[in-house]
Amino acid sequence: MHFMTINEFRYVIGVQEEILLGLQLWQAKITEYINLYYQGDIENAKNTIFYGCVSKTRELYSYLLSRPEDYRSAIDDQGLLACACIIQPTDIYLDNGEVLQGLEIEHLTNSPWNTLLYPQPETRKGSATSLVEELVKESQALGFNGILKAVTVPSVREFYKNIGFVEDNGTGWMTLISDAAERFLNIQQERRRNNHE
Amino acid sequence: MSNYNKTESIEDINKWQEKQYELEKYAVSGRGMTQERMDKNVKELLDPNFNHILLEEAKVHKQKLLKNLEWTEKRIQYLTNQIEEEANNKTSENLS
Repeated sequence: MHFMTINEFRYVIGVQEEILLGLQLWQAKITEYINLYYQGDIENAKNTIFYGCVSKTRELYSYLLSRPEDYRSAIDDQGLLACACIIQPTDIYLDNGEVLQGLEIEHLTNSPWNTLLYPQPETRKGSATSLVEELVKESQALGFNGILKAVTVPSVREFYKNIGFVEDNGTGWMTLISDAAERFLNIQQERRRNNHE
Repeated sequence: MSNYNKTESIEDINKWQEKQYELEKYAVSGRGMTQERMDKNVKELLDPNFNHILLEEAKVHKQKLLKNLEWTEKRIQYLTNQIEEEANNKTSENLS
């Protein structure tokens, strides 16, 4: 048995021309998908992940000026913006009174084509996973031991849980502690190593 | 499978990856937002005049930066004056 192919993504820190162009393409594609799959009416997409992605894309636009340095993105092998998020350092309070530092994933969205139920030619699976992997590495580099925190809605929890995040007592906050972060990096490394063999 | 260890088989890792790739389509997360705010976001992004909205935001942001700059310049001037005053006082003390 062979390992499944792993798609590779480039990690981008901050806002550069390719991020701006990427967001513009997302905007154009969103309109295209609404016409194609939602009879030209965004109301038909309400309560879908795609709708959340549209809202989150607008949210990302609002941070372009105020927090460009907090952007983190994944670019796929076609040069397309595949996933983007806004991060910030944060304190994490544990039940035992201990306070840890980590990176908070404040807003994250996969590209519009990655949030549709219908497969698209642009889709390269693994972009959000790859982005989280790089965030773990950045957290380690900052001396935060790979610790990440994310606030989640029920639909995305399994995605984070499969990586190793643990939910904080039904609050929607999920934390990736250092051991789980290390395990996740090992899985990714193992997959990548076998992919190249 | 997040409890990875070296004994994990290729099959296990493939299963993990298959599941993770399937979950990718749900990867939208972030701080809580009311339905109204979400609807407003969506409406604005799809507005044919979205660039006008962004331009207005950029102008507001510029005004905020200019205000901050003005305040920072005042602060620099104030601290410079304070330091000069302290130095003058020391010189006077030494002379007397």
